[in-house]
Amino acid sequence: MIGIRDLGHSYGDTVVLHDITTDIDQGELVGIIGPSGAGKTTLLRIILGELTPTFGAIESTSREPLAVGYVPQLDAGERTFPITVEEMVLLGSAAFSRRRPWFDRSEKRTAAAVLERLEITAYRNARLSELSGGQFQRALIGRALMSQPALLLLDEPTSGIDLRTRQQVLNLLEDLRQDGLTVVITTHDLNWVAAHLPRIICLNHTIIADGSPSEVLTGPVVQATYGADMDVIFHNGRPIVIDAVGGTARS
Amino acid sequence: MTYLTEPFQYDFFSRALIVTILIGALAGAIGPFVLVRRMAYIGQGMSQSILGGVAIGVTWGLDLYLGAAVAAVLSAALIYFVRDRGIPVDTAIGIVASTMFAIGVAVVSSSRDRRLNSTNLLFGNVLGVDTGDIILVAVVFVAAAMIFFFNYKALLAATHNAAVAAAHGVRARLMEVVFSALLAMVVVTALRVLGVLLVAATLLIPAATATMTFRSFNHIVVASTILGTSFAVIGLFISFHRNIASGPAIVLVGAAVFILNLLTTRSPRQSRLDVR
Repeated sequence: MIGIRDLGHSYGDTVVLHDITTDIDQGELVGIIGPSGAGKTTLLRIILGELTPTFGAIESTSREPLAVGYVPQLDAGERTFPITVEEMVLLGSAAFSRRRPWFDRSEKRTAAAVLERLEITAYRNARLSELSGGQFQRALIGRALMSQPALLLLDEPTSGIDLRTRQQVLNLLEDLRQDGLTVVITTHDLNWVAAHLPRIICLNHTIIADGSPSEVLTGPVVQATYGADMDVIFHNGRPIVIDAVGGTARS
Repeated sequence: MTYLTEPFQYDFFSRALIVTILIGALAGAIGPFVLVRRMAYIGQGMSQSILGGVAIGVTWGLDLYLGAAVAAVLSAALIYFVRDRGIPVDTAIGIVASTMFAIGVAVVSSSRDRRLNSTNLLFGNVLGVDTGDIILVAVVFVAAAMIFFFNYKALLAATHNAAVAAAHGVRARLMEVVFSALLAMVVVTALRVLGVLLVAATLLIPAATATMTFRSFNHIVVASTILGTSFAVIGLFISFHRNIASGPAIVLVGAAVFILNLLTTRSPRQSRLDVR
């Protein structure tokens, strides 16, 4: 799907990313974890094509330009926008739509199918401000799906939503993955990715570790990623990260 | 009936009505975009800034609209320039608009040119509308309407979330330029009828009234266009019969409808439980 090769990026003299090399294959569900300022969002913006890397490149196995769907962090400003769910979802296809103010019937049928799949058809004429956190997250995913992406990027999809909604979002992403969509998530939520994602990339300006949760989530890796003392315990064979007793933050 | 027919005995009224309808529709259509972009201040700032351009332009023997257009573009560029240096955007608008407005007032107050009548420039005067104004406003209206029609979806996507729109293939930065151009077109062409101080109100009042009533953004744009046109027409008749400046008359009609709507309508946001 995509190969990231010797990628690096700097803002002026500040190096945000360096020596990033990894592959993400079609149908993978990958979590990128790391502390604030680790370069997660910068990496996402480079994959999106919004930023040009200072070094290295991203290669695609596809001959066609890679269609990417993007789900940003939940944004209060976006949510208060006076627009219906259906209108916002349709905007995901704005770039490919005919240049006139209204959408075709076929585009509306596609949107209806997306809303049905995301189980938010009942809210198609509701304003975004009338949705719960989970419904709004689904609507954002719906907009991204309208661009018919091969790769879906989600920036912190679990922040600011409750446990039940997190589970619903994960189930949805797993369904999409099974349909062949490649899904990449950034998150701070270590235990959520450990419990649910098959592959984790630990990032702190460079890749600290890359593999399954049980391979990656070890005390030294977590400490190197977050710069803080943390313990990793296992429950039913699954790693769980907790603060170390008397632990200290390290620069 | 006489109330409606009497003004047409005067040629200037028919000319003013045509210009007012076109400006009302244009301002109404792009108003919702100004509202949701929270760019009311930039509309106000741009309109105040053009006084400087008009005053200098007329003093140099140039066309009124040419000076206004140059000042509108210059003010937008300066506002973005100052903002990009880390100054908050409202501060940038305040500094640029006040400075250019002050230049305009300084030149107008020291000039003896009859075209530089401060009341007309600030609040609008339909008596000044001539055939040249109609042609210019009609040309700008057609150009703006075409830009708006062909870019509507991309403009809306970029307005809702520029980063997401760009990720999904929309030329979001180009849409910023398109939006600024549309705003400048409204501000400059509204100069004669509305004056520089009241343009922002005609962008915002129809849009805010429609937003309180409709859920759909597309419906809001249609309603705002109709309201903008209606306020302009009704305001123009009141301006004629009450002998008050056209700009304030149009704004006061809009404000009255807005207040009435505010007091009587249950907003879509309040009706949250309706969709559950």
